[in-house]
Amino acid sequence: MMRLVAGVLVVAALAGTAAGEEKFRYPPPELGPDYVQPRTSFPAVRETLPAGADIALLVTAILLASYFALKLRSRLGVWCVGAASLAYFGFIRGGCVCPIGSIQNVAAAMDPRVAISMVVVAFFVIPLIATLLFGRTFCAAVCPLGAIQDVVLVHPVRVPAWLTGALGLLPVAYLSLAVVFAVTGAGYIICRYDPFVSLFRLSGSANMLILGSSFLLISLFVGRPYCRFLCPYGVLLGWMSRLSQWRVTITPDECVQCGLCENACPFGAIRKPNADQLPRERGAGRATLIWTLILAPVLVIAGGWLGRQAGPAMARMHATVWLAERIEMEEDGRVKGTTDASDAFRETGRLTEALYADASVYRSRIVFGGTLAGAFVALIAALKLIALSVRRTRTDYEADRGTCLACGRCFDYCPVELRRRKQRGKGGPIP
Amino acid sequence: MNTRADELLKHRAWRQATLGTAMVAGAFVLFVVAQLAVTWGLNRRSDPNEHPRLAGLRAELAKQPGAEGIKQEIRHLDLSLRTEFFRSDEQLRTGAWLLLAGLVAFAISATLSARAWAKPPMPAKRPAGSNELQRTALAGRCAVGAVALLLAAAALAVPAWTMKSAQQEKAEGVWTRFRGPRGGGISPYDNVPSTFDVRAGLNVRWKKVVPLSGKSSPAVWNDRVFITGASKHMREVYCFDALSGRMLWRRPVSAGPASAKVPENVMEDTSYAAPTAATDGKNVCAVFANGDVVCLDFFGKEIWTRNLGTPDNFYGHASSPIIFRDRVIVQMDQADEEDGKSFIIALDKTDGKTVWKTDRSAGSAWPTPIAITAAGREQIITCANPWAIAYDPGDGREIWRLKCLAGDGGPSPVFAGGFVLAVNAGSPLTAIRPDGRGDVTKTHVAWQYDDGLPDTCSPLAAGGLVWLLTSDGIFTCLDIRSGKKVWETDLDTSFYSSPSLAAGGIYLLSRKGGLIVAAAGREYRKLADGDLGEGCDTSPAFADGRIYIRGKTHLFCIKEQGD
Repeated sequence: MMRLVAGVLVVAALAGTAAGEEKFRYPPPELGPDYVQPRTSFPAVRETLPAGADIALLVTAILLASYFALKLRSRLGVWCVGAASLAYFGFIRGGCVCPIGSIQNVAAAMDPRVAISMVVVAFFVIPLIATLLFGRTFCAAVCPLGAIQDVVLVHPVRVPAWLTGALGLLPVAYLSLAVVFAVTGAGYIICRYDPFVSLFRLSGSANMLILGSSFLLISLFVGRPYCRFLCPYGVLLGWMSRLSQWRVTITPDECVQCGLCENACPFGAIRKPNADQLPRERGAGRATLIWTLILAPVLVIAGGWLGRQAGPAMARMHATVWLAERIEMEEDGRVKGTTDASDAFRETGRLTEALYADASVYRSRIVFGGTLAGAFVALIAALKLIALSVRRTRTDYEADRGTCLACGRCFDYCPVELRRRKQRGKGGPIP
Repeated sequence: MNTRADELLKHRAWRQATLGTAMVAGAFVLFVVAQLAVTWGLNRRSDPNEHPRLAGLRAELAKQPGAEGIKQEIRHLDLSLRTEFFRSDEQLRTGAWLLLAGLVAFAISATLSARAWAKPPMPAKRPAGSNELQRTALAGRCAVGAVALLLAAAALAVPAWTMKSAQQEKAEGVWTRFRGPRGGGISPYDNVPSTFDVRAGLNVRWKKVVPLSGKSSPAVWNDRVFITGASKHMREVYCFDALSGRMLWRRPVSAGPASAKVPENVMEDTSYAAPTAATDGKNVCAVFANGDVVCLDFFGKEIWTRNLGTPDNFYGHASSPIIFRDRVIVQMDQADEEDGKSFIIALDKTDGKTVWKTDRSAGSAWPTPIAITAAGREQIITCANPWAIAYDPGDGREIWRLKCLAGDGGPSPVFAGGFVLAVNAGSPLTAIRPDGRGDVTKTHVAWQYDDGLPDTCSPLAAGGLVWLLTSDGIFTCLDIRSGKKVWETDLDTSFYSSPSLAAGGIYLLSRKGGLIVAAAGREYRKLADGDLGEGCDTSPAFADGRIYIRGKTHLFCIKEQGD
């Protein structure tokens, strides 16, 4: 219960920063004294569905997925909800709005001048709360990005646990970068590089179509590569899931330690029992733990330093910084010709010094953000190393609290579960 | 797994059907992907915005606005390209849908087939043993370390990569002012000819007479070469087509009655058009011996002119203007130091109005200033007897000054290896650390060297070495860190042209028009030579595969034959 309360408080704190009054997202551009700003107009509200329908559908899908995964323990039910979510949130809604991208809106809304829609806030918060309650049932069946990878998984090849854990640093790095870029106004990279949105919309640049197709190709053999090794929202959901009140279990009855469930999980989320560990090895583990704890602050400082080094290059993601550098190169004769952006800037008659000053401010912010991001990624790496030195005793096969996606595949592999179903007169396995 | 559904899945006919469907769907997907790739290539090739032939025709039309034939050809080509582009675009759209359908069919059939052919899972042999757990933990630590190292390498590589990109962009640069973009005489191009012989016609693309004489050097921006010429009463800016040598326009310059006052004591070696024009890719600015400053657009239209007062300079004014951001900066050193006539001025590039003007405690001097960024700030570096002075380009305020010069100064400063290098024949070559404030004479001299000092040619510095070239042909190489001599040789001819570095060779043009290309290394080695066929007192301008040289009467374009 304490975990639940703690989790709700974390989510409430995040949401609190996001909620603000509706304001203009950007100030109107300065186009010279003679230019008359046209009256701002707003597109008509979508009439096919009321604004809150997406939220209602999201909640319904999560509740259904949780009911199928936790109560009915039905893989078929989870799969059907996933297919429906893929159809609606993916192909019908074109992959937007989605909780993954909403991270950036929420992060950007820390600036009180930036407005954020309550629908976006809801899409950010609801899956986190649901995960606190039911585990990652949102990942299992509601996220269209997860669903599209899930439906093409033909022949899963198991990625070793040690590699899966290490590759878990990549989404942390991606999350950190996305937050830095969103907060500093450099852009929303999660949306810009969403590999599946081009497929959902059947349009987009060739590069993005190739990226999405590549992910799907890998998904034929590796279970949900984007979710496990890149998804920044998955990082948050993983943290929430560790605190969840209820979660999927392989069997509610006694585990017979047959290990069949391990074969079932394409995501490597099932942990083996380790109760036979010797006391001598525990001593060695403690020594490793102490060294890792000593190393952790050094790692964090090094990460911060590296982030700072990358900061100036990261800053070029910001349009103002890029424009300032472009103008500078043009004026120094280091590049030939001009760009539309540099021509437009010159047309404004604005002094380059003002542009350089603005760019300098953004650059400083991004360098500072890069420092924090680097330190944060290093901190997570240190925590991973610490976690590898700490062993919780497991007497049975268990689904990992953070990485289990609640897909329910393991149900059908568990002989205890199948016996239980027979006794209760239920049906057999599902696709 | 022992259920009726699985029994059905394991049925032979079902297994073969799912496998066959998956194979057919897979082949279909591959076919559609191949077809899409081909169509995409066609689509890109027919993009009217990117088509090279169309772009070439448009450029041609810009030069000949009335050419009906070109217009017709553009219309015809544009229509056919658009037709092809939208046709292939539609095919791409259809192909995308087909691909999606194929993928869905493949995913479903392949999943079912995989289930049908799957072997039943076997129970694990035993729970995880202690050794296995230890191995996994060790592998996990190594993997976390490896991924962290990869991320660290990426963090370090991103700035390096962007720097490389910037260098690549720089390689596209042009020769914007006297001695190139940084005033250092260094070209990024490695494809320029290493020899030429005008009399024999070797590697000479074109040569054109420059109507009025001058000692100014060419400035280049893409397909335009700018040069100035003047007589006692006339001043002109010329623009030549870089490819053909055709004169695109010539523009007489006059800033009203003030221009009529002619300086009395202009030497022939200096000429009335000694300062090299500067360009920013949109405009070109030039300064003349009578103090006229002009700014023209690329079509020769006058943006503004003004006269800064007739320079009281006993050899004639020679310092070239530089364009720094939105300003044209002119160093006007004249008379004697105690006369207080010298100044440096920043003019607004758009209208010629004074942005700032700073008086200088200097007498007549001929160096061209350079703009550098050092110690975290931008600086305009000037040289004149007796001071090297740095100014803030924002407001013209002095940042630092160092007393190291004496006598008549012709060589311009250069910035390399973290040092500003200032020299002339009457004073040693001085390496200055540009991170001070105020008078830094006693604190910021890194080293000095006092032999083989030039009175006209500017130094060249690159790769940890500095080269000095005296007017009578003493060519010296120094180590930039220590200031020690590495080698020295006598070229046995005279020079006014400053040395330039391109393609690993130092290009030296003698007053007689002879070319010597020396290796830019720690040993003197002559790589090649050439002959311009006429005298030359100017510095060459380098572009992509070409060298532009102003001789006594001609402008030459040097380009590898058959290229």
